[in-house]
Amino acid sequence: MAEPNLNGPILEVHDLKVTFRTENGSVPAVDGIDFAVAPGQTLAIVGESGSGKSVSSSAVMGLLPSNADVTGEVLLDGRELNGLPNDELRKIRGNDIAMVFQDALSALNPYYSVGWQVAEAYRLHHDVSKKVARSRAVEMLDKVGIPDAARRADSYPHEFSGGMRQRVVIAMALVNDPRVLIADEPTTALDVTVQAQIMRLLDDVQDEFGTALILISHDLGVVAEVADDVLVMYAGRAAERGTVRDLFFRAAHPYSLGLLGAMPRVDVPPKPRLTTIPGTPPTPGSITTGCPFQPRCAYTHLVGERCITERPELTPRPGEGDHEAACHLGRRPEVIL
Amino acid sequence: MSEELLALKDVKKYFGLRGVPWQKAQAVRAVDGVNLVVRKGETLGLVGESGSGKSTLARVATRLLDPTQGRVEIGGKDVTKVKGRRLRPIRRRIQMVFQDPQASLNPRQSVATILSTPFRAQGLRPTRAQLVELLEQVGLAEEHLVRYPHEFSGGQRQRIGIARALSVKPDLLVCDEPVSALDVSVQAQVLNLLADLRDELGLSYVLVAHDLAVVRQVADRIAVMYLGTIVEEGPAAQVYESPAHPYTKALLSAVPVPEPGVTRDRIVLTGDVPTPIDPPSGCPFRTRCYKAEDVCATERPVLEPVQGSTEHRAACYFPEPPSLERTP
Repeated sequence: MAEPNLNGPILEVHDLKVTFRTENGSVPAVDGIDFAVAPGQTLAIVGESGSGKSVSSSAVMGLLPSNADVTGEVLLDGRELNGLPNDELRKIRGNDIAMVFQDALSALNPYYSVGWQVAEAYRLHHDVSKKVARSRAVEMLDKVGIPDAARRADSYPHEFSGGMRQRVVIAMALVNDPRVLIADEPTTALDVTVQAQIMRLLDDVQDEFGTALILISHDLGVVAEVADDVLVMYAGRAAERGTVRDLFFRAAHPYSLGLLGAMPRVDVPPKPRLTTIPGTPPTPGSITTGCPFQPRCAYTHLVGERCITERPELTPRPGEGDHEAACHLGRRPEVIL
Repeated sequence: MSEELLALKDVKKYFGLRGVPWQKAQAVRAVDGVNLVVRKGETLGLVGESGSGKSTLARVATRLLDPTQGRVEIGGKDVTKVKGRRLRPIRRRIQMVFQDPQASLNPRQSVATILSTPFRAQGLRPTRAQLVELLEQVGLAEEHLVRYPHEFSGGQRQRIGIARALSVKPDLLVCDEPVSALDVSVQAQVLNLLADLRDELGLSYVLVAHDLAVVRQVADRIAVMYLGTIVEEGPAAQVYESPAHPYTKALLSAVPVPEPGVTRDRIVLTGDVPTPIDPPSGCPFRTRCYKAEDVCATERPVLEPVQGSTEHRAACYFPEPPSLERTP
């Protein structure tokens, strides 16, 4: 965890909406979310499959396919990125904002050595000789903990283990000293002992370079450990946001509370039963009025009609910082077991 | 002591690698000498990282794979050499639930057909009432009988996979990563379902999983695998609260806990799991172990009782002493 930063956010997103035009009409995948992240800080975006968390980050990077309509502001250091032409964006992608994907194997080209690939990423943004780029690549591979980097730079992706590949991908993302790093489920495909190594590496990187990190994850354990702020997404909308302690100790949205109760824990004796959220997440676009979580919510009866008719907006809740939740039940839900 | 449902005796499973003519043929030692017993009514959690051999072991136990060496006993009978048709009565006692419900259900078959297949394999014709009862056991309804796998969510598909396994009324379900493909909120539903079925039907489970928190939630006994061998085994509470093998200790310490501010004494292992083609001499874990000494390279340590408990065993020359801070 990094020290609180007073310099203000490096990346700000306001009212981001992403709609996919499909044969079956337009499908809203992200429906108006805001977030910001400051240098050296970590923002975690949490949600289940289909919640829009990965689409949001791809929208920030301008990586969505052409049938996606993106509206809203994406400000990097105050500069609007949304709507920039592709060749302008290309100067920013991988340079100011870099991304680490879940599946390192498909993020690497099997035909080229890892050293070449990291050097290539550097040469895209720096006018240097191949020799200089290569030594920079070796330096980065060494920094992310690849043993004997100068020799291993000539190896190909298939010669590395999963954890080592993810280190290569992180080296590639960091080679241009990005100010913002977006990591989309960076450890989901890895074993826990390797996950611990990678999370420690990301933490060291932040300490050294002051990188702002956006961590997309469904693992609340990882989030609790590394995040400063958390945004909980449900069905393309923000259900709750606040500091990591706001979310874990003062969760104000029934969905956040449900997620916390559904997580089995390794460090305490098991509860007789896990708390569950009935049903499954809605398909994007299927809920148009009211609260998207209402069909699965255990607290609807405490509020009544409003949950079905009126869409809840984010409203302030008690907490350390700007703790907000989008729920008509104004107070903190009591735990129903 | 209750009835032994499944016993594995010094089971080995090697997969041959087709080598090049001028090199000696090599083998992947996926399972390398495992002894394991599952008794009636218990849930055994088999944990380990990828490549530890836990899924291979599950497949050998259900006779989906033939062991290279060793014995598989189901219900006290040696079934290692039983083949073909004669396996069917055995399959009635032990069934398997797979990780990926998308891949383990035939997309061209309706739920009714999927659920009747095990009956037909046993030479039986299920009644509609039997199929409906199966669906209801896993929280689905009669109307789902005529639907096809693509019409269901991941959690529902996993329920169908469980219903199919239950159809022949087995004593033992071997579940290979049953919830790892599911979202957290859905995962909890399936875990609760497994617990309910255990209570209602008196089922026993072997639960293969890499997620240690998931296993803690349901298992009463744990076996920890590393490079094809069991390095620690014992009652869940003892293994989780006072791990004796350095690998178990490191593994548990690496799991992040969903509580901000909790700092864990993390043992970060260096390096990766060695290749099972050429495992280290002696203790398989010694190359990454923080306690390794010369003796560890000599002979492979065997499972021995630790911490004054006969149930709790570890294969280590320098097991950890009992942990002082036990959760009350």
